[in-house]
Amino acid sequence: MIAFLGYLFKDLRHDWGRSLLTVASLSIMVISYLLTAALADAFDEFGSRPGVVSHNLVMLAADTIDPMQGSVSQEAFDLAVAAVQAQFGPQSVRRAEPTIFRTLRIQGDTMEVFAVAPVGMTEIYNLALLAGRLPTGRAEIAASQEAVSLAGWQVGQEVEFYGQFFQLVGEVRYEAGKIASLWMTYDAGMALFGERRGFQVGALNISGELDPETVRAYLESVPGIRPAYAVYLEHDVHARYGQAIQDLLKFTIVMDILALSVITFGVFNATSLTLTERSREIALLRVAGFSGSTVRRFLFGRALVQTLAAYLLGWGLARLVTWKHAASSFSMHGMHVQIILSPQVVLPGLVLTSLCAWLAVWLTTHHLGQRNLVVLLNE
Amino acid sequence: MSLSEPGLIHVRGLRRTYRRGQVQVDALRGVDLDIPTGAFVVVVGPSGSGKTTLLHLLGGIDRPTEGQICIAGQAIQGASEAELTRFRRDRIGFIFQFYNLLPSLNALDNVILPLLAKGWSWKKANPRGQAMLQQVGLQARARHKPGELSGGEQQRVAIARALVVEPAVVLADEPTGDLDSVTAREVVDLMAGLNRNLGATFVIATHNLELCRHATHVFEMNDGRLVVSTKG
Repeated sequence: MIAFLGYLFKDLRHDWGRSLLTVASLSIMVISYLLTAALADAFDEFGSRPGVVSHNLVMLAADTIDPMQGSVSQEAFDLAVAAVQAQFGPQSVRRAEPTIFRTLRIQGDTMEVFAVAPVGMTEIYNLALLAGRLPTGRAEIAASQEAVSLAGWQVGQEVEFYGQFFQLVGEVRYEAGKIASLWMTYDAGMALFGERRGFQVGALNISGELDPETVRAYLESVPGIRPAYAVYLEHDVHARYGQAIQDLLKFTIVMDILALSVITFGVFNATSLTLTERSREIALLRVAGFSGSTVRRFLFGRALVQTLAAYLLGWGLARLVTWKHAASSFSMHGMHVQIILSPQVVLPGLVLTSLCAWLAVWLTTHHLGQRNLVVLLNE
Repeated sequence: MSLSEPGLIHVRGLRRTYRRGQVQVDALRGVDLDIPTGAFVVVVGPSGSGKTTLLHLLGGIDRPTEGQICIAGQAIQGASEAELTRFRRDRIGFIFQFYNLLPSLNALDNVILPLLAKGWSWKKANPRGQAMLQQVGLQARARHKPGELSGGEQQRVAIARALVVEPAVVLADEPTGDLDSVTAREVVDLMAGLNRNLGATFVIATHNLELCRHATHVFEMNDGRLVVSTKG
């Protein structure tokens, strides 16, 4: 084994120019693979982050792509509350709050803005206070931890958006949501956005003893609600964003597979070139008494050393890219995506690239044992 | 002579046919020969007469179309690839016209290559390699790579490599074909001396009639057949 490795490294050192070129070209694909895999991992982490299953029903205008494009009338909302109470009992609705909803671009990041009564923030949307307090005044807001992280805000500072200044009084965690959000009182929302479009979301917190899906299905069948309004489970609304991320995840996985394929073909080409250019040397090893499988192991070892070196180089360069480049931490539709070269990205990649190297060498050399030595010697 | 006698080469009805496109080429057309242990055999004949093909078949790097080959008691015509690999490793030493040294290895490493194939460690193989280089007068050039050696020196390294496993038979294909006349004479004398001193059987295919003066047997080939066999 030591003799085998000794010869391997002597051979690589002798052919150092070609070896370096192979390592450099493979490392470029390794960088692509690692960055795409890290992106996929970030998407996967985001998409699989469990949205809390709540007993909240969300009533929205039907046939609108974005909830902020529609509105819910007070009459329809009152009808919905009354219908649920009539069907499932007076205690079936624990709290109902109209909510003004907007999706805004704030300091370059997309954020959701919720305007709801302070009691609704805790009893319906289950906001958990992380720092400061919940907003009560017309010029006060709270921000989700995602929003604080994205915008780099600090509790207590003044924040301007939609042409108005607000005091950031608190940082909250909104478990059901996945994207950055700002919270203000219903009155503040009415003052900011005007009364003409009313509210966009009718939020009903139903009793924990009831099955939310049964109540939702019933509500959608109530005349007056149907067909103008659609009723969703709160976590299903947020899951739509997760689905979008999952779609992107599929794309990044395809990109990863392509990167691995290019690595495989890179090793395949390098090994094919070695076999073509050095067929006489390969034949000589066979003539000297090395078996076909030993020669294949030698070629695999050579490819593996080059691939590992490329992986190490690619990993270092990818770390440099994620460290230096702002794109390694960015927001997408208000969702904070951070690219991290974690061990669960790097180690499987190492195994996969090694397997690719093995596959490439196998494809190149599987017929080597059957090749006539005389032909090889004369090539 | 008994077939089981060590070092004996025993060939009967050896044929080798190639297909070159639509054309069938009969490289060997039924060769019979016997070579005793310790012989210094020279095979002469014009280009294309089948000398190299005969050596390839004797060395187990090609397979006959027909016929029997028995070397040192081992029949090789039906051997598996693994058996042929072991056979080449343990019984045969090859010397080629163009030396065929590995350019990435120095002279010593090239010499011990067959020992590494046998599973020896570098540490264990090095003294044997040094001794062989001494035998061919190149101990001072042990750390030099093939590119730093002259043609004659490279061929000496190749001879040392062929003999390092103490093979039953050394097969040399035009070993002086790429050397000037003075160097060629030195190489011929070296091989003849090693034959005498080490007792290894040499079979040498050549155009160089100089070699015949050392030969114990001279075989002349023509058109794939052994036409003359003389004892020196």
